[in-house]
Amino acid sequence: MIEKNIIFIHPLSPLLQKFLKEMEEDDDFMVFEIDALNEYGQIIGVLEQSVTFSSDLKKSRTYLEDFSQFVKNKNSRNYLIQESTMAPHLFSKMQTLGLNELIKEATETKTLKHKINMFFSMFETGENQIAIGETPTLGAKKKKDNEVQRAQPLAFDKPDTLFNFDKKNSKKKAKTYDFDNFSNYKMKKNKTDMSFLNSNFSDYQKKAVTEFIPQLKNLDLKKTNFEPITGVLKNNPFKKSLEIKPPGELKRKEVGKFEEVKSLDGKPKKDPFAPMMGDMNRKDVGKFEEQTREIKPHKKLNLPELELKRRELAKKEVEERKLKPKKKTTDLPELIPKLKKHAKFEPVEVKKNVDRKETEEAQELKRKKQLALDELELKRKKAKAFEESMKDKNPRKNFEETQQDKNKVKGQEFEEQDFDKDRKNFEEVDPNKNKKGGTFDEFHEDQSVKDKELDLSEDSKPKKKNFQEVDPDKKGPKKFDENLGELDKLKKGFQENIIDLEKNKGKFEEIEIEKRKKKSTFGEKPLENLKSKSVDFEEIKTKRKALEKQIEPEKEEYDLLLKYSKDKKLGPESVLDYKQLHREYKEGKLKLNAELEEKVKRKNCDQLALEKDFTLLDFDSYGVEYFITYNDLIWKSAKKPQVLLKFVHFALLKEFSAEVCFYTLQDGKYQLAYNGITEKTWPNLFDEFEKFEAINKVRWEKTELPTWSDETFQANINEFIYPYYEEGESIGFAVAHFPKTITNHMDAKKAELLLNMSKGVFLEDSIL
Amino acid sequence: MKIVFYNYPLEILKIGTIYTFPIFLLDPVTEERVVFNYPDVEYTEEHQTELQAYVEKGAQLQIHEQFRDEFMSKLSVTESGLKNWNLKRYKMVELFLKRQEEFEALKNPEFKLQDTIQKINHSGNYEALRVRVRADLLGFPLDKDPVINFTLALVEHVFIRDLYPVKNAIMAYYIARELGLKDELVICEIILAALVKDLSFSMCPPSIFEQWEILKNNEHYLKHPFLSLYYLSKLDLPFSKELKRIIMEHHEDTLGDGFPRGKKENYIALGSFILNISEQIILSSTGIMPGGLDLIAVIRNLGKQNKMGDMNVNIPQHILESLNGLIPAN
Repeated sequence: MIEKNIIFIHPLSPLLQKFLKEMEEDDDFMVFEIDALNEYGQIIGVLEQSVTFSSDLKKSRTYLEDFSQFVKNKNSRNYLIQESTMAPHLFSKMQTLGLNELIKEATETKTLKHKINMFFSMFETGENQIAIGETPTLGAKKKKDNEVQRAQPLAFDKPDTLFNFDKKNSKKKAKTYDFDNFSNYKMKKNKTDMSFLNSNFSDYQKKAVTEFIPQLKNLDLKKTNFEPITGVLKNNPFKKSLEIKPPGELKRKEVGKFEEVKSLDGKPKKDPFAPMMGDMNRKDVGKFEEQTREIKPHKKLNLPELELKRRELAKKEVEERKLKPKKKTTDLPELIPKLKKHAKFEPVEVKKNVDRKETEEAQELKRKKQLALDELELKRKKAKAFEESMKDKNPRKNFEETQQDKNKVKGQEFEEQDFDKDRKNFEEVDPNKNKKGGTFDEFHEDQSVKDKELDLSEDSKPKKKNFQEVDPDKKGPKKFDENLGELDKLKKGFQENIIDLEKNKGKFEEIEIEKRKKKSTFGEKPLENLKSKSVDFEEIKTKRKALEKQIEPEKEEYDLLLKYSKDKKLGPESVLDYKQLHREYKEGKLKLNAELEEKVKRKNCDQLALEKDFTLLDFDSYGVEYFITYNDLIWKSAKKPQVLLKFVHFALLKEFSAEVCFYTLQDGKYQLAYNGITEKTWPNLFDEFEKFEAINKVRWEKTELPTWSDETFQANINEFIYPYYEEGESIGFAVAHFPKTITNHMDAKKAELLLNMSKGVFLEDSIL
Repeated sequence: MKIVFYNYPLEILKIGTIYTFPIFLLDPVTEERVVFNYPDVEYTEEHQTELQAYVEKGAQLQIHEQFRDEFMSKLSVTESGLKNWNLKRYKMVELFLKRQEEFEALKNPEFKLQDTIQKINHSGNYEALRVRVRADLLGFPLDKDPVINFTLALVEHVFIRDLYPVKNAIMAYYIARELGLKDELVICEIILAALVKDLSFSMCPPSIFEQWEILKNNEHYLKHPFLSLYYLSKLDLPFSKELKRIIMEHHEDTLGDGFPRGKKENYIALGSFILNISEQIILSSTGIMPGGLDLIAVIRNLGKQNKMGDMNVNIPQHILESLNGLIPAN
């Protein structure tokens, strides 16, 4: 008599409470109620056999983890009671911890009791060990319990396993036993020498043995399994570990570096000299050449990144604007007088009012119209200027004048930098800050996308007059001459200013908007334009994308050119002829210095490392081709079950050189329906088949689940018994013998599938 | 398809050598790669120790194909040695090239679909169309999706005879292409579904296949889409939901009289319709199923089920007629 210990871990679900009461009344069982898990540790350590019930998932997990040495063995059972089922991945995790079963709350208490009795009965009878040479009875049941886990997907009548494609195979391995020890099937000594392999298989085309056994990538593998070593990888860009960076990481790093620089130098600049940068023509640049060279090229060339950043900001603003509730619309005619009235002093408000009036669609339409009009206007102006220049017979002068006019406009961009703070406030209030102004349009249309960006510094020459007009409110007028005198200071901060300049370029769009507002303040722009002119973000995005495309490929080249220029040993005042450099670079005349060459090489290697190789995928047919052929055969051989059985035999023979016998249940007896062991294929066994059958048939008949005689697939001859069931009742079985051709579980599964192919035949009333 | 990175064992690297090629290190789990040593850096004992540790953890030493020759000559590596270290990749490339070759050989530029269909009408021999479809399919990439690979493996095995499921797949392919379906994965799913949709026939008593009237009322037959899915599930391949749906619904009909679920037109996958039509054409043309299918009307209905990408609903009349010719008159 053994001690039947049952442990209940609080809190208990209603089912467990009910079950606890019942168990307490039953004298056969020793009941333990546990509140704290440390108590559980004290108890479980001294109990021999026990069953633990818990209805709390967290507690279950804790006790299974903490006391795995006591609970994860054959002497204990662990049940978790839950209202609903558990996610498969969670359940398999719990299973690995030692959970035996998840029982639903709706289960009857007598089921629980039955489970307990079944468990303890194994110990009571002392047959939990499979005795060598004995017929396994209860012990076999235990074994079969294990086998059920493997064979479960084969049970057709289990609705919860059907069509559950995502359900992974239980990781718990089926326990293997030395079947040779209790199998009645003993080959005679002189007949176990694999002599059957020497027999003539010429009737069958043997399957070619391929070396390659491709396997699908194991998706279950944790990606974090690969723990990098903390040692230093010399000369590796990712020195600290094998935390290999994904593609684009380098780029991100560069951005990060740049952001650092920017955060140091790119504080909200109120540099009075920034606008002056426009005055520095190419000749002046020569004076600062040393400093120019010191500038890290990537900083200078990170325009696209700046642009991207700005785009992101702009996008956010647009989204914010979208989130704001739509404002009430008013009639335009009513508003125009108001606009006229306020436009001079409150351009921001005017814009807001205009927006309230229009729906988004109407705005869009008007914007498009206005863009078209602007374009026409621009063309008209150009034509007019051209005509005039022709009239004056001095086109050059006219052109310069036009340019000056244009610069006037552009000069305002930099005047307006001083209003950064105000503008920011304005931006916060005005949802339409990005809308395009007429002048902006003209500028846009007039220049190519590239010119806009690259020629900005030259175009942005500030005009004295403009300074005087705008500056008084802020910092007082800054005279042009004074500014020129301060150029020396600028030399030192050249790098910073370059970045500032880029920032200014980045703010180009905002500045243009400001400019438009100002224009409205000065009454330079017709009011009608105000209500319809807005910057189309999408348009800008598209243009900038194009710009990025233009700049990106050149970036590195340009970067290199700057470095090459060092080799030229130019004097501090010499001017770099980038065209010449570029030409030489293209022609391969420029040579890298050793350091640079090294860097280029390494960069190339890093880029190569990011290249992707093709994915290795399995290309096996898993024996499905036999099913397809069978589907064709079934139409033709509907009345010839023997033909169908022979086809299954053929499939097994071709795939695994296996022989098979089929037995069908007829008149309450299992009768041989098809014998695959022929004189040709297995002469030794064929001679003594009757004896062989007589010895083993009872064992075969009693096998209730698909069973391999050696689940490790090491035996020279591996016997596989495959029973057929219909509605829970046996209808026959197949016995196949594999001459060491099954080497892994995939093969075993394939063999099972092939044998399952003949199931329909057994549903016939008679196949004999 | 070509090998970009070649694996090699750590043992072949010699301490104290300056290699002119980079040593790449791959983490096979995350498929991420780093440069362990850049070119012209001496390979030291320290490097070896470090590499050993990585390799023990599962990392793989690799050489880029750009440095392949350099690597082989410097380390005296033979072609067969390199092949042994990269057997899977070599096999896959070989298979791909073999299929490409077959694809090129089978690709007959003078193939005329209309003529072929007409010939089938007369002879019932699908060979020309089968060869053509096989050629088309063998040109598909091998590294795109496991389902494509599985389908191609099956095609290679079974597209050698005019089996009933093969005819079915050919017809389904033909209709799918005529409808404008081009995506390789979608096409493969339809082909695969056509081939495996009736896997569970093997679970039905063979005698029911003798007469159509008996078959269509048999309980096993009425469950066969379910059971075929069950078979498929045992292959442990990542089949898409769309594929399972195609198989599941391939006997549903527009009015809800189909089986196993009695779904109606709006809820049935396009692929299922295609399979249904192709099966009916084949069964009718072989005399298994009584004729009388209004093919044109049914194919027109397919247009309403645009759930598998863009498709051309306007199937040329002559093609419809050519298909219709396969069906014997009532």
